Amino acid sequence: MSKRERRQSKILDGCLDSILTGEVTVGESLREFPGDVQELTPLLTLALETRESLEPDYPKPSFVAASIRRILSRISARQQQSRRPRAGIRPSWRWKPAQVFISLMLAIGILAISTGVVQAANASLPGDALYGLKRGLERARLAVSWSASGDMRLLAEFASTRLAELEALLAANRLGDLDLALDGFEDALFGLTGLAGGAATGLDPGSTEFILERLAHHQEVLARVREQVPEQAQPAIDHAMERSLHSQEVIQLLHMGGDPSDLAPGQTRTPPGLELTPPGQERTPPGQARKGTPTPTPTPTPEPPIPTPTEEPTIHVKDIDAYITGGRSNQQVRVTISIAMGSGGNVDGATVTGSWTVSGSDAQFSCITTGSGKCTIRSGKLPGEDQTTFTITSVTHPAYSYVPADNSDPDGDSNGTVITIELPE
Amino acid sequence: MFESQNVAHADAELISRAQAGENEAFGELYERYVALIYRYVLARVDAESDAEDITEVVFLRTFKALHRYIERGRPFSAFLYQVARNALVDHYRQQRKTESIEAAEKLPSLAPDPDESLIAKERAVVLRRALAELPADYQEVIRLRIMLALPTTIVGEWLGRSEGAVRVLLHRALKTLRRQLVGSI
Repeated sequence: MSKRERRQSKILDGCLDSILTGEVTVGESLREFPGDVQELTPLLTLALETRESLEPDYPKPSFVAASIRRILSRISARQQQSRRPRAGIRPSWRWKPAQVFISLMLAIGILAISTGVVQAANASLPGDALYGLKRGLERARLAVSWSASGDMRLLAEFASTRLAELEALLAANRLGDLDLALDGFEDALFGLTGLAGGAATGLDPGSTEFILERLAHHQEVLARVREQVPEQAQPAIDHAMERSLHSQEVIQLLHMGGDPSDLAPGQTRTPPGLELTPPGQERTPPGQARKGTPTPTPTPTPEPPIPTPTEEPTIHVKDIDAYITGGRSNQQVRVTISIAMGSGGNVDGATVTGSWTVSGSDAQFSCITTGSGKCTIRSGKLPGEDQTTFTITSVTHPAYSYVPADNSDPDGDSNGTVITIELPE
Repeated sequence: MFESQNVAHADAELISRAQAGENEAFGELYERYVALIYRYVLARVDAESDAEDITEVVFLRTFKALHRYIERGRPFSAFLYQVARNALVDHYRQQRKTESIEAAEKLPSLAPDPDESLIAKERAVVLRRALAELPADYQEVIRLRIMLALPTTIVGEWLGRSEGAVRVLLHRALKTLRRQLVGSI
């Protein structure tokens, strides 16, 4: 991605906001960018035309009203069904020898037929008639899995299967079906990362290793496939790769004892070896004990401290951490910024803005802190760069004032405002 | 709907109440997001009746999955979007079995008003066809950012990409769409 492309993308995006709402015309929106008028006018005009021609309608009020009635009624029916006691169900028949024999024969027959069908289904590819059965069987395996670890292993395995299908489709030149395999792959990883949050109470080391090994394998396969697919299909492969990298980060963070809820989607990673839980602070979600950690005895919740009127409502940068991902050709840097109050508490909802100094780029990037007080900004790919610097230019919050002079970094890898990252040779 | 942190807090409260079994809270979530999800689905399936069916499936599936939902700083709409995408994959798979290619390519009546210009309708058909020729992620960013006019932040949350990546993706998508259209003339 060139600097020019990044700059034009930003202008295009900014102009779109005002054009799509009808505030200004295409020409008016580009008035401040005379050097880009020639290239961006046709794109903005096309965007406007696409919006006007293809904007989807709103749902009919009659559908909205009827649909919610149907949904709530089905939900109620389901809830009533699940509340119904099962103890009262008693079989009204008894086994007889003839029935046993017939049932056994039937079961053997069904098993013989279904084994053949299942084998055929397992060999099917997206778009084949038996593919639905294959996915159905996978869902059944998930349903009978007893633990989150088991579910996650299965999902990692299913993601591998999707990639095997992707390669088979490619070999068969069935390019039109590649999307289905990629969608399935991303769905599996989406489920995997979703479960990772719930599994924060403990993912056994064996499962973690298995999943990380699968994810590394996925990235190898995707890189291989990317070389073989037509150029038009490469962005979809890149997207799948991004999803895989994000899943890897989530699992690694979990493995290190971190909390995946700190991760914005595709946004962050904590450096290996970094102490994720500050001394004296328990990061385990309420009601959940981390594996290997003694469950604390519940104690009465103390009254929250009443802020004294003299307390300054200020915020500052508490920490900046950087991490490098990817190889030399596609390396990226991610910085995680922690924002704290003057009193030390984490700040939710602060907007952090900063810029990367990569080949003279002046682009500004922002992120919003979550409840952990953290958010992450990515550099984008930096092929061939030797180093990059990220500078925090502003921190805003609706209720607090930012005091840059208070910025700090306990690791010493930054001064709390600027961090320089040396990229590997 | 998207700019305020209050929306996220209100959603979190509704989700928590719905998880505790309060169906009215889920009804409120439905009312908040039904138009958004319906319009996204309609942008992908053309036929209103399909969009209605799939939207309903999305909310039913969401309800079923709600007890597993953990708020992780992502908007609830991103979760709904993922459920909608899965429902659409199932729909396409089902459609392949029942419809011929000709039927699948049948275009919707975009201009029900008989006075509306035939040229505009034809242009919409051309645009839709050109859009369908683009790589999946180009199509998706145009649907979300242009057709639904979602803010870049939300598109990023939905697609799991940074805002910068969304901007570049959109720029490339529009350039490719333009090339497709120029080539088709």
